[in-house]
Parts: sequence; structure tokens; C-alpha cells
Amino acid sequence: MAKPRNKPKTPKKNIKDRKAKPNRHVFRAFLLRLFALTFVVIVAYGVYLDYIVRNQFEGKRWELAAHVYANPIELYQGVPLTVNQLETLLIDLRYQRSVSLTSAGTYYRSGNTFKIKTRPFEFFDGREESKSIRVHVSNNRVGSIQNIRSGSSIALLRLEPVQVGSFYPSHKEDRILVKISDVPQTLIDGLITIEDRDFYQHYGVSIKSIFRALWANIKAGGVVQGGSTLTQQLAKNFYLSSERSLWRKIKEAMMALILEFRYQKDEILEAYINEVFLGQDGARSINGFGMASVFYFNKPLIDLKPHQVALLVGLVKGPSYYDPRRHAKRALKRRDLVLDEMARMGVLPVQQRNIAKRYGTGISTFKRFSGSRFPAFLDLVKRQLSRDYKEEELNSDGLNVFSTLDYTLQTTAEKIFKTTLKSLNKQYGIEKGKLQGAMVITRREGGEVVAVIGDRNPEFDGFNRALDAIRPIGSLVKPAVYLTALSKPSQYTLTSLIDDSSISLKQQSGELWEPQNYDKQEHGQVPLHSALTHSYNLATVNLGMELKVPKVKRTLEELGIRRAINPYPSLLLGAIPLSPVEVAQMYQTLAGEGFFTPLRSIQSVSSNDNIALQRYPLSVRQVANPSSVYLLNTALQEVMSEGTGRSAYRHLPANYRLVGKTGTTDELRDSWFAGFSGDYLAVVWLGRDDNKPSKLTGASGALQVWSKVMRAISKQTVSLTQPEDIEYVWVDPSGLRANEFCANAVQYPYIKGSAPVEYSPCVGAVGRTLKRAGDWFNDFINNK
Amino acid sequence: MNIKLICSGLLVLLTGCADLSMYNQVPAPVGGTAQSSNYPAQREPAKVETYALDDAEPTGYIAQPEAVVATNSPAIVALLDGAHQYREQGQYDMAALKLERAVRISPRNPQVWHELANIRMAQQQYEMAISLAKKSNLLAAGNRVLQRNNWLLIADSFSYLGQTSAANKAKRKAASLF
Repeated sequence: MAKPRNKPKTPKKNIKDRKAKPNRHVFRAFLLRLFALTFVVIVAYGVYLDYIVRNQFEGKRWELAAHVYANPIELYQGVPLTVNQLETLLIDLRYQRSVSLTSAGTYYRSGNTFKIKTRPFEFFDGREESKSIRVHVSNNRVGSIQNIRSGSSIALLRLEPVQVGSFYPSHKEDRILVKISDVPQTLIDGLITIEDRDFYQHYGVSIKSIFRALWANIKAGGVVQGGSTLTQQLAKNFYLSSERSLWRKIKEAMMALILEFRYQKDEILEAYINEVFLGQDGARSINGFGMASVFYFNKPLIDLKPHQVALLVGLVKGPSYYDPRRHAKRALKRRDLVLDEMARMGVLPVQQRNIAKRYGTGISTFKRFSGSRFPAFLDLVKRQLSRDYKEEELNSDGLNVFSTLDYTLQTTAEKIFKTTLKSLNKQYGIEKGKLQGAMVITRREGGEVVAVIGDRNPEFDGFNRALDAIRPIGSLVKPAVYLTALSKPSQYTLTSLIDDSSISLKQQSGELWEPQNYDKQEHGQVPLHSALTHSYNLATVNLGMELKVPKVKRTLEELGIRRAINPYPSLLLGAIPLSPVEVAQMYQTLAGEGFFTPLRSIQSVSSNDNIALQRYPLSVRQVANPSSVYLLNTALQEVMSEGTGRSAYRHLPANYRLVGKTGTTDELRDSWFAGFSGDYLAVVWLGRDDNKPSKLTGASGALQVWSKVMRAISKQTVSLTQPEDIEYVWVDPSGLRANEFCANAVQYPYIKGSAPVEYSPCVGAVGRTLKRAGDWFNDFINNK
Repeated sequence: MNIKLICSGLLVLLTGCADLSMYNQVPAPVGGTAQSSNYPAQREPAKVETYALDDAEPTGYIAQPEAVVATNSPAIVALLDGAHQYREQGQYDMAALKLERAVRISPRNPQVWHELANIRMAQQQYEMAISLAKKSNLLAAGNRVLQRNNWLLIADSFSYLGQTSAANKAKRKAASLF
């Protein structure tokens, strides 16, 4: 066929060129599109990273742990405090001995006199400044407190509270935030020198730095300089995981650039100083120089000297490797290297460098407080707080929680609890380690919880028996039965006779319930107070059935039980399961003489920057007639002096008045005691987690723990206010009215108008007449 | 035996006399020492209606006799003063905080509980004020001035709550104490 005429005639050598041209176009176009796409992806990714950077940096930057403080110790004339207790307290507050009181947080003891320079503290209601005081202790009480400078006497002084726990964010990092203005210049100089020499000049990433550092490190034979900028390190720690990969490095670089673009040098530096990981303490990690300063040197960052600052700077490269507590030599070597570099760069005068190098590590030896030193108490705090704060807020807002814990009391109680349980376990031949227990101690007035123990090993953070061991309370319920009776003075008084004889009740299941006394005996007609004092089951059931069980249930609810109660007759003998803290709430109303006070473990909460957030105020509500409660408490005092609680006086003086009740359940599975002295109420439960018999009664077990603890902590014997409508009347053993001359007559309190009218035969005619004359005379006077 | 009877008879007579002597106590001065300004109820417009009483209507709160005040320790005095200052400034929570510290130090001091009741009343938490005043009364055995002040506080609180019969009952109790 002929070739088309239109086809242009091209020289042979151009054909190759023409074939190549379209490919170049296509290739270039393809490349261009590839670049464009990559560019878009990079920009998009950049925008995404920018969003992350800004969000973290400007939003809530760090999750801060909430710190829980104990009730601050108040020093005033007359407060019971031994010399040793005061010194231990100061040591636990990390005060250091110093003859001349060089700084806040020092003390000096000579004999019974203390010189103390207190640390300032931001309480809920304001700042209490540092003071230099002289405290004299005599006869185990504070005798006088004086201001050293002015010599004037101080009426009342609050020491800073002991920090007793923290609620950590899930990542368990612990921080004390510092502002850039609170950072010593030596720290900034040190960081710049060692970690990022061109910090103030670069834009986030510094190629120059990388090469320079490489060269310097080769020359020095060790890691003298870092190639990553501070900004890159911040990006790495702040936003990224610790995996090491090229991709991660690129991300890190991009974020560093964004950080530099968005924020000032000082802001970045401040974030870095607060972020960097500087040590590990058990489960919590030490982050930021503010926290590290306290953790290693027990001092605020601003107070650190050059040799201490240099040591911290050295830690950045390897907090575990250079741990000054475990690798002191290494830490010192590293520190000296830092000091030398700083001197070489001219940021530290040579003279200072020389002085600094003469110091040892200077690490504080103070025992650290981990998050859960008092786990049972903290558990209570957390539960009460979570009514008002969400979990995230508790764990990350850095709240200051001022609790009601009495640090000295809790530690004292823990020691006694631990040893007593061990010895009881052995003494009664219980399987080793199986005897468990719990204890709750509150202030008699005001309902503040001062101590909680949830395990035979109080420091163990496991099952909190004080709050969660729900066990039948046995005879601890009886005061509610008797209070119900005594609230009807026209029918029942302390000397009313009740029937301690066998009773058999048909239950809904058709089975018969036939309760028995502990000694399997029947005691016939007994006075009401006796039945309670000796904890007679039969008398209590008979009385309770007369009163009607729903009435007793009502009394329990008024006393403060919130759990659902089954109004079955077995309730009368304590077939009602409660936790120790719930029992404490019930007995708190008796200690309050008829006033219900909700138990509190928190006084107040302030924010991380010390703004008052919330107060949990003291509140009371009268729920029972104080006169009836007075009668009941009188009988419960008899429980202690003559009844089932009398073995308490093995550990306490015979005239130390106490009010309490023992509780034992079927087959001795639970051993309970609840009672109060003048200043404290305490509830103890002992038993086995597997609910097998514990071989202990309330008296042989719980009461022993209770009385030993009370001996150690209580300073006030019980005083019961006698209400105005209570009169004391002499009665004979059968409950008839008598006088002080009758044999075996005793005085009992009665609500006016309810005392027995019928005279005992032991009172002669003249005695009766004189009494009538006296009464008439009294009435005559009172009518004015 | 006869001597014993005579002695016990005299004893009975003497106890009667002892009762008499209680009424010889000079009541603390009213009004002149101008303590009534301490008690907010006196400043608020009274929503209370007048009522008929045989005895003189209790006019106002009476200052604590010096002897009672003096038994407070310096620490308690300092806290009560501080609380008072806060109350004057209307900072009731701060005042309550001071008083709660006082409760920790001196838990059964009826005056502290009375002051807490005052704070609650100033904060218009009348039911709480009544409970606190009752608690103060329980602890104030023998201190008639304080008991009277408590009953007046309770009466005022009941009035604010609109419970006039309870208020009147409380007023009568206050009156009966002097």
C-alpha cells in the first residue's frame, strides 16, 4: 500500500527524540503529581500534628495526682503530746535538725524544749507563714509556745499536715509543677550546656547540633552532648511513645518545628523542665525537676545549690543508670562532668565549680511515702470524694484533699492491731495467718474518722474489710432493742423486770427458731439493765417481740443504718450484716447522746493552685431522745464495769469510764466490739475471710484489740451529760424504791415520772414520810 | 437511830435550801454591754408575731457571765475571736472552719456549738441551727445563760421556718430559765 501523503518526512535521527519527548512529559507530570500529593499529605499530617501539639500544650497539660493530707497537728497549751511524739512528727514531716534553724523545715531539740522553724503551708482557709517558735513540753503535754523573735506567747499553731497519700493518674507520674521564674538559673544554664547548646538559636531541629555533638562525643569518649534539641526531647516525651524508629524521628522533628513555631522559647523550656523523666520510685515515676528536687534532696527546686542542680541535669540522660541512690559513684562522675562542661562554657564560675565538686551526692535519706501508705483510709476518702468528683478529676486535677486522718493515732493503732492479731492467732490456735480484722476509729464528737484499718497487715492494699466486710453483728444490735424499750419510760426503765426464759418462734419457712443464751441457762425475771449487761439472748428476744420487731428496725434506721433491714425476729439477735464503718455510724449516735452525725473522712478540698473548692461541714441532727440514750449509755457503761466488757480493764485503769458492747455471732464466726471513751469511738471486727469459726468471742478477741488501742490513744474518760429530766433514785435489787440506807440498794437514773413508786420493805415509815416532806418542800420552792 | 432520822430530816431540809440558793444568782447584765449586736437575729427584721405571755418577754440574748468565758483556754478564745471576726465580715464558711477546729480541741464546749448554731442561722440553714443549738444545750448543763440563748436561737430559727407553735414553745423554755 502507498504511505499516507500527510505523514511528514522526518530525518531518521529525530525519531528517537520524538519517541523520548512524550515519556519525559509523562514522567515529569507524574513526578509533579507525586510531589503535589506528598506535599498535601505532609501538610495535612502537619495540620494534624499541629492540632495535637496545641491541644496538649494549651489544654490541661499534665495530669496531676491529687494529694491527701492528714489532719494538721494543732499545738496549744495543754495538748497531750510527748517529747518523742513531737520529734517523730517533725521527722515524719521531713524536718531536719539544725541548731541555728537555717531554713524553714528545721528544728532543734534540747531536753524538753524544741526550737522549730515551721514551713509555710497553704491551708484551705489561707496561707500560714513560716514561724520560728519555741515549744516546751512538760508532763507529756505542750506547756508553752513562744515566738522566738518577739518572745510573745502563741495561743494556737497549726503545723503543716503530713501528706498521707495520693491518687495518681493512670500513668502513675508524679509531678510538682514549677514556673520558669521559679527555676534557678544554674539549671537552665546546665540544661543548655549539656543537652542543647543552640537552644535559643535553632528552630526546633538543629543539624549543626547533631554533627557538633557527634564530634564532641567522639573526642570526649563519652556522651558529653546530645544531638536532639530540648524541643525534640519535649516532643518525644510529651507526645510520643518510646519506640525508636526513623518514622518516629521524623514525627518528632515535625512536632519540634511546630512547637517552635507556635510557642516562645521560655514556654518550651518550662514545659521541658516539668516533663522530663528523672527517676522511678516503686510504681510511681518522678517527672519534672520540681518533683525530682524533692524526691532526691527533700528541698524545693529554687533552694538547690549548683552541685545538686548539676546532679539532676546529669540524670536526664539516664535516670536509672545514674541513680544517685543506687549508683552513687556513677552519679558523682556524671555530675562532675556536667560541672566541668558548665565551667568550660563559662556559665559557671570556675571557683564555684571547684567548690561544687567537693560535695558528695547530698542525697536526702528520707523514706519516701508511696501512694498507699494508709490504703484503707484512702479508700474511704476516695469513696466519699467520688460522690462529688469524677474519677478523672480525682486522678488528674492535682486537688489538695484535707482529710480527717490523725497520723499519730493511725500509726499507733496499726502497730497494736498488727501485734495483737498475731498473738491472738497463736494463742487460740487459729490456722496461721487466717485471723483477719478491721478497725474504725472516730472522734466521739463531730464524727471525724481518725483511723481506718482494713487488714491484719494494715499497709496491705487489698480487700478493705473496714468498708467491705459485711458480717452479722450479733449482740451489737442489742442496744437498739433496749433503746427502743427505754424510749417508752412509762413501760420500761433500767430496772424493769423482763423475762429471760426460753422462747420458740415459728418462722415463715415453718421451722422453729429457738434461741439460747450463751451459757445455755434461763435466768428468769431479770432487770433490764442486767439483761443488757450480760447480753442475755432470751431476755432480748422476749423484750423485742413485746416491742415488735419493726419498731426495733425503726430505731436502727434512726441511729444511722442505711442498709436494708429485714424485720425478722432474728434481727433481735443481730442477724443483720453490716460493715465495721456502718457499725461505727450507728454507735456514733449513741456517743453523740442521741445526735446523729454522718461520719466524715474529708474536711475540705482545694484546687491545685490553692483555691478553696469544697468544704464538708460538721452537721448534727437529733434523732433520739437524749434522756433515753442517757439511760442506755448508763447500762452500756455497766457492760464495761461489770458485764461482758469488763476485761477491758485488764488494760485500762479501773476508774476509766467507758461505754461499749461486745458482739459474738453463731459458732464464734465473728468477734465484734463497739464502744467509746471520752474522746474516741472505735469499732473492731475480727474473723476469718472464709467465715469459719474464729474461736474468739467479742470479749476474748475484738475487745482485747480495742482496749489496747484505747489505752494508747485515749486521754479522756467518758462523761455523759445528765439531761434535766433525769433523776437518780435508790432502788433495791427487786426494783422497788429504796433509799441509801437500804442494804444492797443502788442508784439508777430514771426519766422523771417513771421511777418506781412502790416502796421497798426496807424503807421504814419515817423514811417515807421524810421523803414526802422533802418532795413537798422542793415543789413549794420550785413553784416560786 | 433517832439521831440518824433527825440528821436525814435536816439533810432533806438543807437540800431544799440548796435549791432555793440557786435563785439567788444575779443574772448577767442585759443590754448595757451591747452584746445583742452579735446575734444576727436581732438585726434581721423579725417575722415573728407578738404573743401573749404572763412573764416578761425575753428581749434578747444575754452575754455569757465573765466566769464562764474565762474558763475557755487561750486556744479556744483565739479561735472564737477569729470566728467572730469572720462572721462580722460575712465570711461564714471561714468562721465555721475556725469553730470546727475548736470542736476538735474542746469537743464538749457548749459555747463553741452555740457559735456554730449562730453561723448556720446566719447562713439561713435554720434546721441545722436548731440541731446545733440543741446539742449546745445538752452540753450546757447548769449554764442557764447559754441555755436561754440557745432556746432563743431555736425560737428564732423556728420562726424563720414558719413553725410558730414550735417557736413559741422554745420562747417559753427560754423564759422559764430566768
